[in-house]
Amino acid sequence: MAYPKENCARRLIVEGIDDKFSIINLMMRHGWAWDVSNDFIPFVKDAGGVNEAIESLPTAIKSFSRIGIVVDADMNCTTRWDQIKAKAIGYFPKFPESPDLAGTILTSGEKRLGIWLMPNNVDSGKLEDFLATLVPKTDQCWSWADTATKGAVSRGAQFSQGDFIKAHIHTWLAWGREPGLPFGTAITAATFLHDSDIAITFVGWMNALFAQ
Amino acid sequence: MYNTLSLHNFRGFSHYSLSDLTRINLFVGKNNAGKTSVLEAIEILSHGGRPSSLLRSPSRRGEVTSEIRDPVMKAEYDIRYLFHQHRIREGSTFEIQANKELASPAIKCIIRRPENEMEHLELSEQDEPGMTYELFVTGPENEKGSVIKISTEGILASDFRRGSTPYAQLAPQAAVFLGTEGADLNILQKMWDDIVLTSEEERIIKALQIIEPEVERLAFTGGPSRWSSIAWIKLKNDEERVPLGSLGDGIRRLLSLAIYAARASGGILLIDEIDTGLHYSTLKLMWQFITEVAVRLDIQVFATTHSGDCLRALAWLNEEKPAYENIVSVYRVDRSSEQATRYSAGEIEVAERQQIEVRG
Repeated sequence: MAYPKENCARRLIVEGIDDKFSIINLMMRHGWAWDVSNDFIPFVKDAGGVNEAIESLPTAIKSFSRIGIVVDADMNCTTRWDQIKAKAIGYFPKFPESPDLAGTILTSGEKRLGIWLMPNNVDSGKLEDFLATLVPKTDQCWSWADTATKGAVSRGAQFSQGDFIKAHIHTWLAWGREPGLPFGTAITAATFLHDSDIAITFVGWMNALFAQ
Repeated sequence: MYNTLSLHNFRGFSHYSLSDLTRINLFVGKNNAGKTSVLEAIEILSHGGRPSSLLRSPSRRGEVTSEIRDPVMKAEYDIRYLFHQHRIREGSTFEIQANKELASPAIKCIIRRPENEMEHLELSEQDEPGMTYELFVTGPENEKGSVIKISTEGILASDFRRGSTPYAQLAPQAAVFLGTEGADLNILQKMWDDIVLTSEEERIIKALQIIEPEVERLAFTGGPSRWSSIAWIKLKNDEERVPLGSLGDGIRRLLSLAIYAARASGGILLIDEIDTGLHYSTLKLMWQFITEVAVRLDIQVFATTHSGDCLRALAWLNEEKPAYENIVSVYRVDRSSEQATRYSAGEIEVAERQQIEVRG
């Protein structure tokens, strides 16, 4: 299997390597053969940060026919939305005031721009909040990992409160059949589920943006 | 400086426009996308509608057949190719327009039947068979317009005295065109005569040092009265002079760029495939030289390239000197759309970091 090359006309821009392989592996579990022979498959570029991802939008819009961007809402979904809007409204004049809960897709002539704010286009949060919805409901270690992470905080763990969910999910992954799998591999290995409501909505957005 | 440019029915373009032109403008795109045609349009425009300016690009492209009958050279220019879809008939027109600070210069070329057609036809049966169309060209420096006889096939016949044509490009002109074939040494020598012992001489030597840091002096021998010019280089710590050619193609290209730039002072410099002959490691310094000279001598530069390295060099330069953002633009030329896609220098830097291919 060969991933599409960077000169492919469809591109998905993400913040980092975790986002990249989480999305690739989730889509593969939903039937996407991530192979250059499928002409709808985008090249996924980890931009090296949320600011870099957003900054690259105008250049990407000018260069590709279909562009998707997946970034964390972080503290405030509206702030993030407005940053993206400022970069893209010149090319997509009918830019909505707020994100579509099902993932935003904008069209201008032949161009298509998709925007997804992690985790769900409305709440503050990040990739890890999205992945947390894919933890099996019956898993007893999940709540124990929460307790353990809180315990670590009370014992002086260094991470910031904003990264709590990140610490929580990595703690949980540390106790898997194969401890410490990266997100993408854990999705493929079915440590994670693939079909939470929000994951199904995300897959629908990816299909509408690239495959249809 | 031109701010915008639009072409109508010129060469491969039916309608095409470029906006927000800056001091340095680099055209990228696939083969046969029309990059060189855009340079040619600017060349014609900047000559203001003088008929001879129409013949420059057919000459370079080999859309001309010539026959030497001493002392005259007869040339037949196939000017059909200047028109969209290579077809001319009565009413065929091409136009090139631009906006500058306070003006909107425009060139218009139209094919028409001679007014006194019957009389002309009778004549043509005797001495000029097939001469039944005329090309009418107008422009800001030719407001009344000029009429040039052509055949219905689009052939424009012209006579020259042998030896007179190459130096035509030495006449003062608004635009200087450096093609992929490079500059003729005889021409460079004539241009050098105007530069030697001026402050520009030292700057040109510095440009050559981009490739060969040991270059100390440059001189030409031979020249118009003899068979051909030779350019000589004196290297530091070297007793003997060496021919320019012995130092490789790159240094000759840089010399041509530098001399043509000096020639273009206050006007327009057109460069087809600017990176020709230059190693990728020299491209950043080449851009630095071109931007510096363009700002200093008030030149607007239009260039083409196929090279990713050439773009990358521009991106690196922008990273070091963000001031280029307002000086440099890159345009993707692509006939499938009606407008060239413009990237600022900053966007080229982003493209480089994010692996975005801007050349199409």
